[in-house]
Amino acid sequence: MLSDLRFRLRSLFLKQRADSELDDELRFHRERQIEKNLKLGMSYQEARRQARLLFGGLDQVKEECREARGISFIETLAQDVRYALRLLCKSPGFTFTAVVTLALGIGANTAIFSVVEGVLLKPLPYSHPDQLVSIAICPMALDPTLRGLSADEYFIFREQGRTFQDIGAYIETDSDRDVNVTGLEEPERVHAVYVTEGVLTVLGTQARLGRIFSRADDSPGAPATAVLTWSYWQRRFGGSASAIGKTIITDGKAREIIGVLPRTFRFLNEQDLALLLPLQLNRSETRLGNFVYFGIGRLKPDATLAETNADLSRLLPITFTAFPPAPGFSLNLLTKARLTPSLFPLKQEVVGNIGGMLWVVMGGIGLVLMIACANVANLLLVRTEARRHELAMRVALGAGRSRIVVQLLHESAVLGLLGGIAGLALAFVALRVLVRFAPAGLPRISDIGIDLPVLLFALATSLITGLLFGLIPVVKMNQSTGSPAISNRTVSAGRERHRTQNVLVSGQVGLALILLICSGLMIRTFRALTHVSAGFVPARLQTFRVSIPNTYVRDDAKITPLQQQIEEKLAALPGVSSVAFSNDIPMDGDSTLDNIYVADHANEQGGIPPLRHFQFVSPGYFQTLAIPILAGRDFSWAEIYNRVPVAVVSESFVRDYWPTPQDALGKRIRLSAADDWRQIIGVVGDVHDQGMDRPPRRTAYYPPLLANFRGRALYAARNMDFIVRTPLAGSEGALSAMRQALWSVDANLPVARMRTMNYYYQQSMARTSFTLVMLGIAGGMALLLGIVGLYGVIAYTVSQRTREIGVRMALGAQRGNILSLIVNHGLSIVFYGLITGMIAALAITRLLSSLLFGVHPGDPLTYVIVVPTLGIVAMLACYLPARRATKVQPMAALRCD
Amino acid sequence: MPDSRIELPQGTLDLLILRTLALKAQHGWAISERIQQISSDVLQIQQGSLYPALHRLERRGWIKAKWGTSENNRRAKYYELTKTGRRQLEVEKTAWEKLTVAVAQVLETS
Repeated sequence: MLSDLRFRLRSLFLKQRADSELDDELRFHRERQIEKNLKLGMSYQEARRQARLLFGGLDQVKEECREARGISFIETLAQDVRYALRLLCKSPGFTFTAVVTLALGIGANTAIFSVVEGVLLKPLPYSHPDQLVSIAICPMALDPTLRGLSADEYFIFREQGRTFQDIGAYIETDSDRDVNVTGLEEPERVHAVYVTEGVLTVLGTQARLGRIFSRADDSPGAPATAVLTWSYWQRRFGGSASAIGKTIITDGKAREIIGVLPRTFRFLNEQDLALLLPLQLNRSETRLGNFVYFGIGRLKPDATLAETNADLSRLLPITFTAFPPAPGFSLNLLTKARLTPSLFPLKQEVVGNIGGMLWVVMGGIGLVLMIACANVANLLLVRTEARRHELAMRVALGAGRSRIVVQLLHESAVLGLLGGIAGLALAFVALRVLVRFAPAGLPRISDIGIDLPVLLFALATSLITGLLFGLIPVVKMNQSTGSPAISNRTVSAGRERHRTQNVLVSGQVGLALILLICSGLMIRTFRALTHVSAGFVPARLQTFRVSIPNTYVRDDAKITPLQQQIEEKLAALPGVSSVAFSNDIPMDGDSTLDNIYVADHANEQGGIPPLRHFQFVSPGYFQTLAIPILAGRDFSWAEIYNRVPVAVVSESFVRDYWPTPQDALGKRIRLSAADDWRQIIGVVGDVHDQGMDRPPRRTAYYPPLLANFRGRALYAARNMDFIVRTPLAGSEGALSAMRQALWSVDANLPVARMRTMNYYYQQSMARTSFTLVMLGIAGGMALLLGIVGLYGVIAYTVSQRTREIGVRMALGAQRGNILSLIVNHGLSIVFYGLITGMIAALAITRLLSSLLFGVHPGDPLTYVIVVPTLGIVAMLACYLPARRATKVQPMAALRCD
Repeated sequence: MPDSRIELPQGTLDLLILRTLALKAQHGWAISERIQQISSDVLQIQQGSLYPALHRLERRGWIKAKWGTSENNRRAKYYELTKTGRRQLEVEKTAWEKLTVAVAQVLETS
């Protein structure tokens, strides 16, 4: 095979030489023959004549030799490509239409594919990424969706696990794990992640400069160290090697910089990560039941997930005897939670559940390409018809049928590739737009780009589409049998070819319908989401986070007064109607869950209380967010400073235990057996705190300052988002005024994540709106291409039937008859398209159901609106050319052939 | 004499070329002479078809060509069998023997 190719290529590139060699070879033969003839006693003339006779036609032999060497197919290709390009240049209108249509289809597909490839298909950027797993434990009995790893499990799994090469633990980064960095020119708050020493070695990462953490660095009490990411090193140290050995201060703690990570390093899905800090877990102080970490493991080459699962199930009970339970936990409670290993490939952890949405969008855009293909096929059909004469001439001149077929296919391949090149340019632009408007938290967004696999995809798509739309005219041409149509120019159109066109257009209408219905369902979803009340009013709210590390203010008792002081400064700003603070903003993606005991209820007797969402809020939180108070009252500052044990709960929390909000007042709850009981003083409305498409969670609200909480005599929430209700929310002036207000209280406190509440609200619907926009674009393209295709075919039919129409009119047909003749033809096409489209849509929209909210995939309203609308638009596309048909002058039509 | 010559059946030319080249490298003229000579002039190769066949075999990698000097001191293109060519010769020889035996059987029985 390879030698064959080399041989062919040699023949192609050394064509001159090969030809002259062939001449030499044949001449040698002829001369020997002449010599032989001379020896036989012939005259020289006779000897030459006989030799030539024996040999046959020299040129024919040469041609046969060339063919035997196999040059022909490449030569044919080059010839055809040249010819095709000449032909395309000669009909710029056709070429332009076809190339633009294809470019739209291929470009859109390439752009979406590069997202799919970057996010879903590309392996993670670590060595042997298939060995990497995410390790966590799930409390099945409490909530099967929760995952986490506690330090005790990390130690036991690492020491006794049989299937791992190594494992590491890290603490999931959210805004609370940001650190204040001081000691450089100006204080700032940056993203950091705490890792055990195994994490980087498990990922197979080497330091770009300096070194990564050693076992010593990660031991409790070791000198504090830090490793920088490449981007932070560039930003703060200008990429200078002297950064190694310098000191930076994080949250007041001096750390030596020991290394810089490579530019390509990504920690899972973290964006803007600045620092990696050693976790320094202390084995001797480890307690059971603190599931705040996550694990990463590298499996041994031959180990499987199932084996690992089994092995960890074996090790879990060992942890129970190796460490004492944390305060407020009991062994009994841990057993009842039915702790189960929760392992999956690391890639799944990074990519999350974005796959469904991306494949849906990819599928939608794929349908658009099919419609584009059908359009181009129709154009080609018409063109092939017009070229009958030329093709027949070529057959007459000796071209084989297969030669013509090959030529037509080469032409459509050229067309496909031209479309592909234009499409690639389009994809390049589209991708930039796409990445900018992609939903926040789209994983691996930095991996998206036009790379080799994407280029190959574009090439393959171009060639396959070229083949697809090229094959149809070829098949048609081969079916229209025999008699070359040199003389009889097409008088009446071939019924056969019309049927193909009609089927193609029906298909287009059907595909367009599917896409429009999908877009319709997404619009309905979006409406449903925006029409559900969030439980609070997100408009005109500004938020920002202020964290007070205990290295800065050690005394818990001083935290809340400081926060209240900031609150008062903010409240005094012009336009501000109310201010509050909390450790949790609805829809921001972070939250804290814990078991909440309710006094006098069954779970008191050793049963395990359910996990509930809880957050710390200042007085005025409900008023500021406009969350209605259904019973009782808000917290007051006086009771907070007097450390009165009180709490507020949400309406759905109440429903689990008591018939009405009123009944909940005065009842008592607590987080763990070691805590004080807290009396419920108020019940507030539910909030869609996880996004509009998820149900509100049962929530308990605690004041920001508590006595006897989680084993501590006094606890103050230190990481608080301030929430300011003001019509100026989001304006630069308001933001700087708020910063000034904060710094007038304490100039050393950095501000983080300054965002309006609307930002979180919209982000929580970003996936829906992104899908909506993408499917909307696909639907719009499908509609446009489909209608243009329909219009084109009807208009073409009319032009072909001009003569027939003329005859009909001469025989007395009225304009109305002609109109309905043409429109009926169009409508039958549309009808079949709508029917098949509807059946297909009913099946296909099921794939969408995970993206829908508040609407059924078979939603009648969507169908009732979309189907007739498409029908009417299609009718219009038929009507316009039909009207032109009625303008036909019978005499002119009869004369025109 | 023309009467005693027979047309070569399809595909046998390749076999004859391979067989001829199995002894030593030859140029085209020598191949045609040799076949004619050995077959006692019964098989006359259409000279026009010899060269396309040689080029086809070369493309398949069964023979390879190199330029050399002929016995009368002229530049000539010599062909020789490759390893795969040698294998192919065995395959074709076996196939041919089976064919002749089978044809002979049919002729005798009927």
